[in-house]
Amino acid sequence: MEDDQANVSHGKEKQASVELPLHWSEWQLLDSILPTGGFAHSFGLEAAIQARLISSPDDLRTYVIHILENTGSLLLPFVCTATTSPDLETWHKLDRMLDATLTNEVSRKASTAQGSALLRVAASVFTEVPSLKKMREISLNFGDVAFHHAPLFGIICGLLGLHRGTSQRAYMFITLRDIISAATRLNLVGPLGAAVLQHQIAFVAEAMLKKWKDRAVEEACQTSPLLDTVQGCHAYLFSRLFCS
Amino acid sequence: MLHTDREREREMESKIEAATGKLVVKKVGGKSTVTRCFSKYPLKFIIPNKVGSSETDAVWVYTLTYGGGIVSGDSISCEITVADACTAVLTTQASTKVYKSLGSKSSEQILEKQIFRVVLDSSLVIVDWITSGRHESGEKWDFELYRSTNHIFLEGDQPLFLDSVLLEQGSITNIAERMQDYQVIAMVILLGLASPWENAV
Repeated sequence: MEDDQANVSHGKEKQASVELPLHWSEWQLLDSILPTGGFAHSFGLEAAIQARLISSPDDLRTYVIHILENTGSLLLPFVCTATTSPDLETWHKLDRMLDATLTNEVSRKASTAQGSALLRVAASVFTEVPSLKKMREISLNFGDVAFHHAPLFGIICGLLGLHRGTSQRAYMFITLRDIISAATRLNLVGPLGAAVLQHQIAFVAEAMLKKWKDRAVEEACQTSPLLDTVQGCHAYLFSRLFCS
Repeated sequence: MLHTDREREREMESKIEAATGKLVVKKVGGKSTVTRCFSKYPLKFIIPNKVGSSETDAVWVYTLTYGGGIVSGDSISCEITVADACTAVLTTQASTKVYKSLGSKSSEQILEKQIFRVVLDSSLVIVDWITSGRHESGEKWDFELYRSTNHIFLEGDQPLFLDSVLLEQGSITNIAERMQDYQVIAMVILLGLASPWENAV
């Protein structure tokens, strides 16, 4: 009896010792200090401000929620499938599909820029996963891989051993994180107000996640055509701080 | 809750699978001609002879739904094949109206899907648009769900353009809020546009 209990607790300790280092990788992946260049993108926020769609903190809150819903409906299926099958063939198929799906040129370019940077960083940082470097090299030689962000985020999470529930939640988190960050730099909200807003929206983000998670990529759709159009105008802005 | 919604969607989609219309356009005597035309209720094709310039080789096909609109439970699907060097225009007589059936248990849900399979030198023009409703009756983005999908595939099932727009009344966000003061949304796709098209367009 005592031996059994000792075995169970030893088993739990062993499981924990495998899982605990994973937390460090997960947190590093979600930390805004990871040099993936996410700070250069505003998710259409800058264009929306100049189009007079946002003029108050309430407008900002609504905007962030709409973007999160669109992230859920359009991109989570790609993150999910990539996490579940983090192999080269699946990645390339998802990359081609997303390239055909991101019809808004501004968001398409933002996705490839962020995706390329993310894979470069992940291949250098997570050296215990040599397939990251290999996949990157093969794909660079291929030539027609776009390196879109959402599938790559899913691939990296999958190869690190994260569950698809975690990777999809994480993707919503980094989207929320980056828009809020852009909002402070666009002077829509101060740093403290931004932190308060982020926490308030977290509950909505979780609801969005529940609604849109674990879907097939064939079901991917956009839910905010107006914001998509406005983001597409980013390239026409006379003066701008962000790339997208 | 989500499971039931998906089941309902899948059911609607399988209804749409059963073809309601089929058209084939081929060159006959040097002119684009409809060589096969099949339709069943609620769909009807009208193919008038004298539309567009006589110098342009293009066959015009109008799709009609009996009653001039769509009610809940309607499902329509068409398959159209356009052979090499032919030109076809597929359009509607007037804007398609969606009616809410009074006392109907099912909410107004419109699922639309268009799949275009093209080859390298195909030309394609697509116009897909939707208005927010009959404003005099106070309708402004007042429906439950609208989903329009336009997919363009190259040879070998290579995806070229995959667009799916979903407008759904939600508990957190409603459609009118997302569309703000805009009452119409339209998408125009231009693909290829080889020289024979310059006159047609």
